[in-house]
This record gives sequence, C-alpha cells and structure tokens, in this order.
Amino acid sequence: MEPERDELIDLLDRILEKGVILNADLIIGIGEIPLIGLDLRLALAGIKTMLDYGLWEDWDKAHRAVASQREEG
Amino acid sequence: MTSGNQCSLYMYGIVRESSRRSFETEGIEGSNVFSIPERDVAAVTHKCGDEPYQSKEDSVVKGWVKKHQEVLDKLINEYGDLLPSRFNTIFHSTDERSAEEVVRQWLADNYQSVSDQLDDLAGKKEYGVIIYYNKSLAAEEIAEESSEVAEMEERIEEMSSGRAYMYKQKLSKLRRQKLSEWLDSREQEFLAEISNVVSEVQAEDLRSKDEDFPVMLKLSCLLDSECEDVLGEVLEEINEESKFNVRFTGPWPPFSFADLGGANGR
Repeated sequence: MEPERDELIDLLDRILEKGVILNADLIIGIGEIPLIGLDLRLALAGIKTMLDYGLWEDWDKAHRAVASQREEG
Repeated sequence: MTSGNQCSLYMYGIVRESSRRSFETEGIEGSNVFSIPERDVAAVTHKCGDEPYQSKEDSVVKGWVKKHQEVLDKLINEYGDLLPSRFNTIFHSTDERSAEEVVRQWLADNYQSVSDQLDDLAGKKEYGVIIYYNKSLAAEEIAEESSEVAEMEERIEEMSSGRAYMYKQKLSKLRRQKLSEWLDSREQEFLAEISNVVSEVQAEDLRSKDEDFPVMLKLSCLLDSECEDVLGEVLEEINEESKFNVRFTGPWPPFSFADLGGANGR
C-alpha cells in the first residue's frame, strides 16, 4: 500500500505533539495554553476523526453484512 | 497575532546552511522566512510577536499548521534533510540580547547535537502507521480458534436461565482475556515484521479495547525513503486481513526522531 498525506489530522498529530522543542527559558511556554478549539481536540482524540473522514464506512458496512448473514444463517 | 512588536522569532526547523538567506516562500500569516546561521547549521525563522499563535477557530489553526508544513516541505525540497520544530516554537528576546542573538547562542551551545542529528537523519523520512482492529471480527476468530470459548458457549445453551446468567459473566471474562492475549500476540508479530524493514520505530502505548474501532498499534517509523515500498508491502499484508485496517501516512519530516539530547521536552 502507498502512504497518504492528504489528511490534516495526521499532520496535526505530529506538528502539535512532536518535533524539536526547546525546554529552556529561551522560548515562550506553550504547554498550558489552550491552543485549539474543541472540535479539533476531539478529532485528535481519535474516534471522531475516523468517523469524520469516512475511514470506517466501508469496513463497518462489511462487518454489518457479516453479522446479518450470521443472524440469518 | 501580528500586531505589536515583532521582536520574537518563530522557528520552523533547522537545516544545514551556513549563510543568512531570505526564502521565497511565505511563512505563517504572510511572514518573511529567513535563516539564522551558526557555523554550518541554521534556524529557519520568521519575525513574530511575543505571544504564541493560538485561536479557538479550528480553521485558523489549521491554516497556520498547514503553512508551517508548507515551509518544511519547501525546505526539504531544497535541503533534503531538516530537523522540524514543533508548531509554536518561538524564541524571545531578553533584556540583554535580541531574539536573533538568542537563537545564535542556542545554536552555538547545541551545535554538536544539532549537527549530529542532521547527519544521523540524512536521507531518512518519517512514516506514520496506525493499525486498527475490528472487535467483532477479532472475537469471531478467537471463538473459532479457542475450544475453551466454544465449549463454554455450548454448555450455556443447555443451562437453565439462572445458571446460564452466571456462566455468561464467566464467558465474557474469558472472551476479554482471550482478546487481550490475541492482541498481545498479533501486536508483537506486526511489530517484529515492521521493525525488520525500518531503521527505527517508536510505538505509542495507547491500546484501547473499549472503543468501537480501537487502535492496536500506533507507530512512527524512520526509514530511507526508497524503502517506503517494502514497508508498504508489509502493511498491505496486514491490511488484507479483514479484521485489521491500516493507515499508512507520510513521508513526514522526522518529527518523532529529532531529539536534541534531551532538550526535546518530551
């Protein structure tokens, strides 16, 4: 499979959480500042992202199909 | 954000560069992006106010973050390698020194680790891997494989409802235990397969079993970008199993691997 770079969420996950930061007095502290709004925080938390981006739609449909076949069988 | 004094410096990252340059690409909020060199390494920066960039508007934050990444992309095109900064890494001036002097001094103080990191990460890129599992499909496989679970299910069917209730609780505990063992074993298997084809791997400890669509593994992998296909093949095989769904992203600058000898703050 080929890697993707389309989703902003993957970038946010790295750029807000990782990368070189300086813990010296040289920089302005950013740790405690509520930098982003609620929607984005939820998105970063995980599940909402997947639902928003439709990642699970196909899989969920397939899974439901398996489940209903089982019930019928 | 752009109002007030512009005495601080926002750093996008560090590149191998020995001269002061102004880059064509615009930075966050249309700012002028330029390098501040120290020996043969340079911080790529723009002038900003002394408050970090913050907003409750997601679209505004997204715009800034995208711009930060755009600048990094341009730098990677030109230099090949860089140490990326986290969003909002801002140097400020002190009573005695300008922000630029502070940046230079910081680069001078950390020259060896910055230079070593640039060498170590040369030619390598970061890729993200997230493996999700489908709980119901996993449970089906476990039930098929585990005679213990199947036997208890059969026994319950033959029981009176009172007795069955107690056993159903036992069954649910057994299922949880089997799922946890199954996850451990598959996780180790995948981690070993992936580790074989990458230079370095970092796993985030976040397995959650209670979500509807839980994550089994979340990894950051460092590898030569020409090895991307090999990792892609390993992930394809995992993704082909219906109970797993793999998210493969990149290439990214080495956000998870740029570590200036403990100054990384993580």
